[in-house]
Amino acid sequence: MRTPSRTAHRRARGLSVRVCACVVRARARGPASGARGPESARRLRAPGLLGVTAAPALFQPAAEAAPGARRCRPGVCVLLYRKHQITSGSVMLSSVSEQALSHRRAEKRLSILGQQYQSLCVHAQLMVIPHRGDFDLLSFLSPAAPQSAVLGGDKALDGYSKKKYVCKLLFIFLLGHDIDFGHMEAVNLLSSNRYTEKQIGYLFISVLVNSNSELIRLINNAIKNDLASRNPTFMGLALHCIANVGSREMAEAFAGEIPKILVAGDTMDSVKQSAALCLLRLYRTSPDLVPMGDWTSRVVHLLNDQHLGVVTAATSLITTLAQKNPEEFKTSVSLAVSRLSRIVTSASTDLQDYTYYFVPAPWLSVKLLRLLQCYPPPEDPAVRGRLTECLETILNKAQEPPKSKKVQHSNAKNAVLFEAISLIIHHDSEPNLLVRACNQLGQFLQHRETNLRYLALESMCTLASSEFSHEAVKTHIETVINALKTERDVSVRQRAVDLLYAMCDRSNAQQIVAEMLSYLETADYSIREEIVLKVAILAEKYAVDYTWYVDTILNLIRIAGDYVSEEVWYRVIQIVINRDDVQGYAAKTVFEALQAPACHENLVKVGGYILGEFGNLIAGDPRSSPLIQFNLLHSKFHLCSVPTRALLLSTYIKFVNLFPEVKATIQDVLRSDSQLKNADVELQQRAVEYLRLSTVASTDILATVLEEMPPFPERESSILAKLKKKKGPSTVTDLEESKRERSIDVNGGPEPVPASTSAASTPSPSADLLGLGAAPPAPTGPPPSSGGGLLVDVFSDSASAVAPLAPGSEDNFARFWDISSGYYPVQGFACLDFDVATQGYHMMFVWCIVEGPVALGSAACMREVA
Amino acid sequence: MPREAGPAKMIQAILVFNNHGKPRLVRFYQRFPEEIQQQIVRETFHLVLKRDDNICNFLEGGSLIGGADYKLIYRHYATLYFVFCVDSSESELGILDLIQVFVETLDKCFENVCELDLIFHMDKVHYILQEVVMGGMVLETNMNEIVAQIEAQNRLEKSEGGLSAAPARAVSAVKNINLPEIPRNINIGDLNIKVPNLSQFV
Repeated sequence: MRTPSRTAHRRARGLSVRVCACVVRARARGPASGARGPESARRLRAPGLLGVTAAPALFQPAAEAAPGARRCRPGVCVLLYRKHQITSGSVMLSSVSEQALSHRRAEKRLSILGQQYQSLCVHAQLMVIPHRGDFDLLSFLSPAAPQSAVLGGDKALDGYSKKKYVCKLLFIFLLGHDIDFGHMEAVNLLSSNRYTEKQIGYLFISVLVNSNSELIRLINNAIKNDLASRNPTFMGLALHCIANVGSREMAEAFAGEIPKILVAGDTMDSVKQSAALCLLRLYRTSPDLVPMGDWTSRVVHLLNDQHLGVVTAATSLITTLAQKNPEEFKTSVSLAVSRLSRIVTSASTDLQDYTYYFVPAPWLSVKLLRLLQCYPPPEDPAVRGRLTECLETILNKAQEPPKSKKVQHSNAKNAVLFEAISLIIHHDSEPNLLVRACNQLGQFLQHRETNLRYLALESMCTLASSEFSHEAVKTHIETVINALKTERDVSVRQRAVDLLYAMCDRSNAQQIVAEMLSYLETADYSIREEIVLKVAILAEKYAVDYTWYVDTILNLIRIAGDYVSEEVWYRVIQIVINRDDVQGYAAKTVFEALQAPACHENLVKVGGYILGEFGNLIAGDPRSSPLIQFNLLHSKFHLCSVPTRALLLSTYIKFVNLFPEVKATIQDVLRSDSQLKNADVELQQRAVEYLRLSTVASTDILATVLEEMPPFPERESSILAKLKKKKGPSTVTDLEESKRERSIDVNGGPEPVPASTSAASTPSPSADLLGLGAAPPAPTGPPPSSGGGLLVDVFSDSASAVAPLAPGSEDNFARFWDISSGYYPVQGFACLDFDVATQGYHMMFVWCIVEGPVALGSAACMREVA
Repeated sequence: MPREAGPAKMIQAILVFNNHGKPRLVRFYQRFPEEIQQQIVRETFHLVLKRDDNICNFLEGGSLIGGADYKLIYRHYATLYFVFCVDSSESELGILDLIQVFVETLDKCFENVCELDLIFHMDKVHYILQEVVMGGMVLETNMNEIVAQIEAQNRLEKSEGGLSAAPARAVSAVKNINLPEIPRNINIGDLNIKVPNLSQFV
């Protein structure tokens, strides 16, 4: 887009972005030049612009200023506008009297000018570029003086002006305006021999230039020359530029060159430092382009360098390289440990300049500890002992009274401490250190510094997953809960929720879930959904008593119904259906919950589904007789959205089967105009189909078709998948895996899962809820309980007929029911299925035509899936 | 064995803006189109603005840069916010210190730095930043070293100042002659008269 040729072309036509300068001059002119054009009350909306509402009267020339008025710093004000938006006039110059101008007032005046420009151009963008005492911006960019518009090409501009203009362009860019010109000129500056010109040229390039092929070639050329120049300052500039741009083209051009500079014996320290980071940047953008070679071993030895700056840069580089090639950099471990121990044990004055507020080289210590986190604990006992000693020293230092009251001192000290704790957690091998780390974090939990509380919560999250320290972390539960209740900062509260989630196990699950539920009532909206997911997962994972689980989820829906995602209420239904012992309780509880005058739609969904399946379990109680159940559900019907209504209709037809005594009532409801003629196709169809089914089908058929849902195949919790998706895979997985090992008995025992099913299910992060997408390859056994198991017979009898008629349909059919009986010709079977998308049952009939037309009553009212 | 093999661990952006959200220094180490850069500045400003001064300096949830894996670490000095947008794997307190180092260096270079300095010496500020952070990675944390680099740059700049700087150069040359020292070195009592700096006059 910004090829030099086009830029040049634009320049020839007059700059596409014209800059018209209003120069603050000593000589004042009359108001005439400014008072042109109708006043517009529209505000200019460009960033950096003052709104303009003042009257032109403000625009008084020099006359208003007293003769002896204070002379303020002159400013150069630039008005940018786009060429195509100009309707008349090309240049407008105005002078503003010098005396009048404080910076602020200049802005004001110019904004009025800008307002007048509105009559000329639609979008005038006014900016004030202050600059001390220079008046020739006009000659720089005004189309009236095009010959001087060229930054570098025109010899009339001296180096100072060139630098100045580039600097101005940078400022214009900073304020948020596109800079379409000047790139070429900046590139020209790169080849200057003067340091300062080169410097600003490189600055412009690294701030402004996109990967633009033609320019990049020129830039690369300039960089190549500078790298070869052996002038350390020029080399430094070039390396900075490569690191700042870090594009692939640059990697291609220089990835081979930089390692040589890095390990050359005669390279200066500052250049080495830059070269190390530059190489790191290139390795990050295009690892394939950085050749590994014998330089790697020499880089490792930079850890022993005299200059701590070089060591820091080298450590960063090695850390990244070692993550991909751990073997190649293995020797760095012992070097890093010895370097670290020298730093840690040194008195704070030993390291002179690298001591930051009495802490010796904190940044380098952090980097070294980071590097060590790429490796398992060192095997060599000597190195290992030394490292342990270092870590202990760091932990000890935390207990010492601070050497300074300044926050910087404690920050630096704790930065090292937190990194040391991360390393301890990473190694996860020294129970002693782990417990000490945990205690230290426990102290921080109550520190008055918010930052420390935040970080302590964060570190403890990772600590909680270690088996050695899990118990120790649990002792802080009260503090964490307290943090959840009292912290003023949402970032900290969020961390507290994370930690509670991480420290939860069977022993404290009830307490933690209760606390999270009560926090949920006042939680920030931004984190509610996450908390809901976490509560749902914890409740399920650590439920011993599933009635507690049901209560928890219903509470969840009551408190934060809007944030309860589909996955959560799907899951509760899956669990209730899979567990016989909780079904009656669930039915009773939802029935009671539904009696609240206002209940959340999600509760209606859960209630509808559960009563439809298990309403019979509580029908014996006269307070929850079938009719009352039905009326209760139906009283919610009109307040609900279409998907929920659809679900309720399915519940009604299930009621027809469960409670023959309410059949007539339900048929009346289905028959009403609001159902049969509903504008929504889905509702209408369900009403018609269900009504028809209830009238034509015999009780046997009804019982078969409307059979209770069979247990769901056990698979990865869809809630967990969702949380993973939300939080990014890495954080949750680690936690989960380690948890799973520890709590294997929690879930293992009571699940009524046949081994074959669980083996067949393939847990995937995107596992859909009910396993429709990846259904079992074939029905593995007779459908549960009644139903006669005829399906299998039918299926095998007419398998040859089915296959061509319903290609691929078995993918979608999780379960099959036989609806044939002696009454009807055995010609079809139905699949009653749960459709995730519409959250309702679907009757899907697959007709396998053996002979003649097929009937189940009227085929017309059934959806045919062929 | 590496803990995380994330692609880039670095500072993504450094934003300095004033209490009204006007950008004063914007440096991105990852390419973003111009409009997005401005959007990021605005979004960050709004996120930071609504936070009290005495709560923690870390903030998640900038939606534009990288998403959840990134943190905004900021400090508020008088009229300016310094915000570093970093990968979650950087040491948070370390970055806080780094902001402090940067600001203290600015203060040393400008003598009581204020917002106006950032406006009038935008180039200088960039150069100072370049000595601290390079391509999103921390180059130098030793304040004296940084200041020494900047002073070296200033000297170079002066020496290149051309004609306009000639008087200043003359003055500094005269200063460097260090006149009082010469007589002291001439030991009258000795026959050997040492004039060690003789070459200077040649």
